Amino acid sequence: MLDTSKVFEAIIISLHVSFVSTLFAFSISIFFGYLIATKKFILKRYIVSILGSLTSIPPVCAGLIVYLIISRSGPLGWMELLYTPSAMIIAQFIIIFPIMVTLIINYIEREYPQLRDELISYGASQKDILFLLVTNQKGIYLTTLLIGFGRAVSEYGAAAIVGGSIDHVTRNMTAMIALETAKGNILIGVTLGAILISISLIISFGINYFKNDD
Amino acid sequence: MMINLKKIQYQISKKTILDNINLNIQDGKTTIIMGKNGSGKSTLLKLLNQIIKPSSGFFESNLSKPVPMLFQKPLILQNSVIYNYQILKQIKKHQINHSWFEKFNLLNLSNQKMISLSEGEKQKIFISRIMSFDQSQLFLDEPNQSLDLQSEKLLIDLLMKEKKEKTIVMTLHDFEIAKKIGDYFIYLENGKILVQDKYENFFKKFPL
Ligand SMILES: Nc1ncnc2c1ncn2[C@@H]1O[C@H](COP(=O)(O)OP(=O)(O)O)[C@@H](O)[C@H]1O
Ligand SMILES: [Mg+2]
Repeated sequence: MLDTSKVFEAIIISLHVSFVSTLFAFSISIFFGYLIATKKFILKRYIVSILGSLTSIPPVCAGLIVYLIISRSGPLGWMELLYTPSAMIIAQFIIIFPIMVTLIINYIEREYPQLRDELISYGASQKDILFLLVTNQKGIYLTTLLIGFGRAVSEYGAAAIVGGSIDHVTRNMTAMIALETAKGNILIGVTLGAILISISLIISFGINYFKNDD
Repeated sequence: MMINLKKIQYQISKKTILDNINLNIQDGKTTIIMGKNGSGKSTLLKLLNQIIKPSSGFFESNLSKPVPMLFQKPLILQNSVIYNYQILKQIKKHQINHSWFEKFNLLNLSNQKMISLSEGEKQKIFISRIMSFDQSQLFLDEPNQSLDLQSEKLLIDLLMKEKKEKTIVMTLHDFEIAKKIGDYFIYLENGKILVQDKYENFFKKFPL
């Protein structure tokens, strides 16, 4: 039987973990994206290409790395993060940050030189320039958010490794789908899958609405 | 003297774009920079306004920092006309002078999206945006680009008034307009000054 309160719990866990990891990855992507795209420094090209290749890191590997770091004998073992939502947030962050920051670097590298000269002639500060870069093409940032969130919420391997699929705590929707399907409860799996897709669509429509709003 | 350049060279990634530039920009005068596409006009204008720094040579200006200037490809923000027009005010926190905006009759475009305007309409917004700051030095890169004849005539009339009180440096392609407005002329070719002179002498060398 489909236990609605369990499903509801899984939805909340999925949304909570993925929202936090997406917002976190997004803020840091803007900060570093701006620095990397606008400043000249040694190794810049290398950093950009490393980030570029990390965009296709297999989620399971990201999960494994985080696992090794936060497991009891790992360097951050004392923080006791393993099998908590925080561990899932960290793993998702590692998966989506390279994607989001690469999109933002590409955009700023294209847009910045055009904006910069004229804004400098207006006496604009770095802060003004950053503000205009962010507000001028809201659509690009919203799309970046959407891509990050979409990947975070739909990902299974990494969150399962570091989250442990613990009932009430870290069992998100993807973990529940895998579990129920494995138990032979195909109907529950399909229902959860449909809910997951609907949530993604609703969020995507919401973001597109904002995009066309300005 | 307002800006003084001696043996100025400007390079980007080993390519020499401006070479051996010696010139004086006079206070209160209108200087016109001419030359073919790619001869270095826009680069020289940016250098004069300290947007870019010379690679070598002597540069002196009585302006301590860049002033708002009209670029060849001006800033377009994905927003309304009025937002684009007032962005300078937002950054500079300065009272703005709407007289050009009004004379170009742009008020009825205020709420349209900037990107929906025609090139000529955009150009009028860009010029009005720079003129709204009411500074006494003007750096204008091809201010008449995309304008229809009537608007171009209005631009010339307005500049003729400004020129009495201001120092103007601008690039132009049109010799007729240059003749009308300019006091001093520079002709660039491949990043070098081929001819520079005041009105009477310059047009003897260019009998057009
Ligand atoms: N950022 C840049 N990088 C490389 N080359 C440039 C850059 N800016 C200008 N140039 C080159 O410098 C030359 C002069 O350009 P520009 O000053 O725009 O010419 P003009 O305004 O006279 O048409 C051109 O050959 C152009 O390709
Ligand atoms: Mg030019």
